[in-house]
Amino acid sequence: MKARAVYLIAAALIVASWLANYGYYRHYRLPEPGFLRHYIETTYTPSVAFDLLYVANKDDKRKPVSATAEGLEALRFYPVQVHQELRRQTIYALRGYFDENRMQERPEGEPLRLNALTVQYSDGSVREEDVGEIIAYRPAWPPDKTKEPPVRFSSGRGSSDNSGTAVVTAVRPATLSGVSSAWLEKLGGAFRYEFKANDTHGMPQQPSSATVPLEMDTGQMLSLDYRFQLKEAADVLSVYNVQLREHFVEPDGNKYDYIVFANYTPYPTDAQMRAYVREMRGRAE
Amino acid sequence: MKIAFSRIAWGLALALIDVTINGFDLLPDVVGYGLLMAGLAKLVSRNRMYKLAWNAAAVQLILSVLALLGLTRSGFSLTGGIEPSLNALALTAAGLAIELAMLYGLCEGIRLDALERNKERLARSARNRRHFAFASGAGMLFQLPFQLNQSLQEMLPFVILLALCVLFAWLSIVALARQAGREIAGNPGSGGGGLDGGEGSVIDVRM
Repeated sequence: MKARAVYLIAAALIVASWLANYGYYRHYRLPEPGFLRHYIETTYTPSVAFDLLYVANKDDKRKPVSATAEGLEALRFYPVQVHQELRRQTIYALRGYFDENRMQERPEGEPLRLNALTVQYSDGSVREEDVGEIIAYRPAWPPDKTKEPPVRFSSGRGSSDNSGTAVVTAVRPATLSGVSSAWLEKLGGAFRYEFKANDTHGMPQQPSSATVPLEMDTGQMLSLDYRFQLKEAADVLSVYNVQLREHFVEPDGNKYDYIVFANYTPYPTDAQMRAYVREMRGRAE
Repeated sequence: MKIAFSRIAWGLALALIDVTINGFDLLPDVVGYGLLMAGLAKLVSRNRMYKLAWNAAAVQLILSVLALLGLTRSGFSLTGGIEPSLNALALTAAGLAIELAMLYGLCEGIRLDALERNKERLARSARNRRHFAFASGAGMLFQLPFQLNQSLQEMLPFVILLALCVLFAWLSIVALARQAGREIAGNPGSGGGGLDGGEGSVIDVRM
């Protein structure tokens, strides 16, 4: 009798262990694989690339292999890569670029706004997928190389803590009239940036922080420091490609935009991924 | 009857040991379970516990045939660095549960046989090894589903300890089968030691 009770208790514990672990395992499985939410500014020129991040449960064999977008005929993708392995999910990165050999001559066009891409998967299926928001600026192609920009790249730095710096040097006198990006309003306080100006000898001015409009002399250096401070669970797993356009005006009225690429690429912790899965579950139910 | 226990001991040992070269199993479990069933077939008429062991061995034989044909794959590597899937864990657990039923039947059958022949020491030994096999097997069954949610690396010391306990439990039952072959072969009450028509002199096992 005692032995039977021991066997029954052991069997009950084993069943409870399986039920509890299986329930927990199911609870933190994505109801459906899909693309993270992207906020991408890109330029339809061969020098610019962007990543699309796709998250799937680890045992999901289907992966995206390519995507197409109407209006971006030269868009091509490198083979999909593993961006990050988590406990239960894998994040894949699909890097898109614009193939120079497929670029066609065109005048400057209006920016193209996309919310969905036609995605081809490894199992041969093709689906229209919501990827977030992509803004593709379409300058004239081929570019006009006769215009000499008033500033040139001096140095740049990007860090894994989602901060970075871009330094330009004025080659002619110009005035920085402002900075803009399509995502600044959306990011609000989650994105900070600051200008710092140096004199022509490379020494910081006092105070080092500069405000616009800022008149720059030849040889003067201007640095732009930026930092993403995304804290909301819903935002932590979003992808941001911000093109900060520094607007310069020369004394003769010529305008030139220098683009600083500020990217936020998520590397979530397991806890952040669990929060994301819970949110996805909530949406699916 | 000694030959029956000899086959059981060999069968258990072959089912336990997996020697693979480039993924090819040199000692397929099919052979082990086949021998086990052949041995148990001679004992099923003695008590229903041997019948339980035979039935469980038959299920294991079918599963091992399916595995040999590549249709199922139970078990997983502790050192391969690959997290086991739900299917692999469930199949491993199912195989272990059936194995436990088989060992329970075998140990209990031997114990009843030993009691019938007043072999107290063998009966105690069978009971203790049944308890050890059950405890280690149940511990393994309890921890397996945790691998759905914990990394194998985090649990590795615990899993290895349990795996060693299971291994020793199995080995102790191989030795028990050998002991039973020596002590209870022959008619009830005879004191054992007899052979089935000299079969044991043709095939014998030295562990």
